[in-house]
Amino acid sequence: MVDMKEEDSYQSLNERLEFVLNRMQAPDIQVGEAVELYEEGLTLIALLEKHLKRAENKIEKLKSASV
Amino acid sequence: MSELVFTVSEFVAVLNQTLEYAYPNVTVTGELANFRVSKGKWVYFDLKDEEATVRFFGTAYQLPGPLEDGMLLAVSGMPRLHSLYGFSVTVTGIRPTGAGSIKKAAQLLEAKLRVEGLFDPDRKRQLPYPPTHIGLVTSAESAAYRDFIKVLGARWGGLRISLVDVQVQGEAAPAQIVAAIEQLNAAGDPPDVLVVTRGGGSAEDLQAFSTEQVTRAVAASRIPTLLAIGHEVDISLAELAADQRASTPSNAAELLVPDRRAVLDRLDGLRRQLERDVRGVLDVARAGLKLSANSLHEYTARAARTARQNLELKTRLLAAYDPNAALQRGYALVRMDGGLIRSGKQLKEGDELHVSLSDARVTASVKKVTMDGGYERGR
Repeated sequence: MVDMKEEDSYQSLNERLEFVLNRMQAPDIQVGEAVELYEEGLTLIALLEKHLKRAENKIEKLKSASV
Repeated sequence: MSELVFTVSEFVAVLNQTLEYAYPNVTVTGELANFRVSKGKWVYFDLKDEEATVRFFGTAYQLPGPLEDGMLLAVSGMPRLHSLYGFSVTVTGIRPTGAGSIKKAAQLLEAKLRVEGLFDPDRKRQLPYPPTHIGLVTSAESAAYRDFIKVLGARWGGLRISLVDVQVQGEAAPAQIVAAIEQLNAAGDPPDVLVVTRGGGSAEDLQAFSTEQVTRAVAASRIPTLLAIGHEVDISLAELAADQRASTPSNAAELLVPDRRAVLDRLDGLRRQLERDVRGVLDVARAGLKLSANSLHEYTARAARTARQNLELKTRLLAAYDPNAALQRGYALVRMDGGLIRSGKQLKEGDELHVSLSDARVTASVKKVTMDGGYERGR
């Protein structure tokens, strides 16, 4: 089980979730792994939801290097 | 009024001073004539109208793209009287003017850049979806900027947006846009997507985005580009060179990030799917376990049955060996001194024998031993 945290980017969380979902479908999956992946999947979904519920985008105005 | 007398050189110098003071920079509009490029570097042409012609001199670098005689241009520059070649305007900027010429210039430039491969479909890169860091090149005062930011915020959060505020029309626009694209590309932590946008306007307003320099800068961007210039119907050359094009600034925001509500719904679905999946794995495992348990029962029962049959067999076998049964049938056991007698050779006359029958013990003595084969003869 990979330890994902809230600070991880949306993309990396999403990629890991894709992996978990794919692995869950594998024909050779064992009960122990499935249960672990299930718990990890739920955690990932919760973290992703947290990401999504953040309302703000941060705008920084760069000092223009141009003329 | 005293008459001014100059040498020729003095006259040229004074006239240039006067021109510089009076007209440090002028813009002249007219029809392009006698356009030629020398050594790929120097540009000579005239601008004319019905009554007059003026000569211009500049560098190829200042060209907005390929030009053709007959196009209407607005040319900025400094009027100069050259000591040998006479009067000309030293060019500082050229832009096509009037819808027809703008279109013509764009067509010529498009053809040139298309041949170079700047618009090739196989150059197009995938934009990160969703990105985390957006480089935004637009005018911070524009409705395009407000629309883009508003739609983006409604759909997605947690994005970092690096804005470079530029003029999106006018003479300074192309250089500023190019500088902004280069600045974002050179940033220490560059954005993972570059958005260049402005709202609708006249062909002239949108012209900066069809200049050669801006188009090339977009094509050269190492960061994938998304351009939304003007309305759906306006397609600038820079948009053709971009990795992706959006019809409006709002549409750019829509293409860039998913709608969080849709994603939240999807996540809900995924949660249910995960539950189904894990339940599926557990069900399969449970079924397997049940199968194993059944087999275990069966093996045990079979083993017990075999053991029982074995025991019966042995019991029967044992019964067959029971000497009592033989005595019942009329056989007798003959012993002497505690040992069983199996041969006449063990005996001599007068020996005392102990004979066991099924219901009695008899003591007898040997009268005679005849070694003649015994049982068969005695019958």
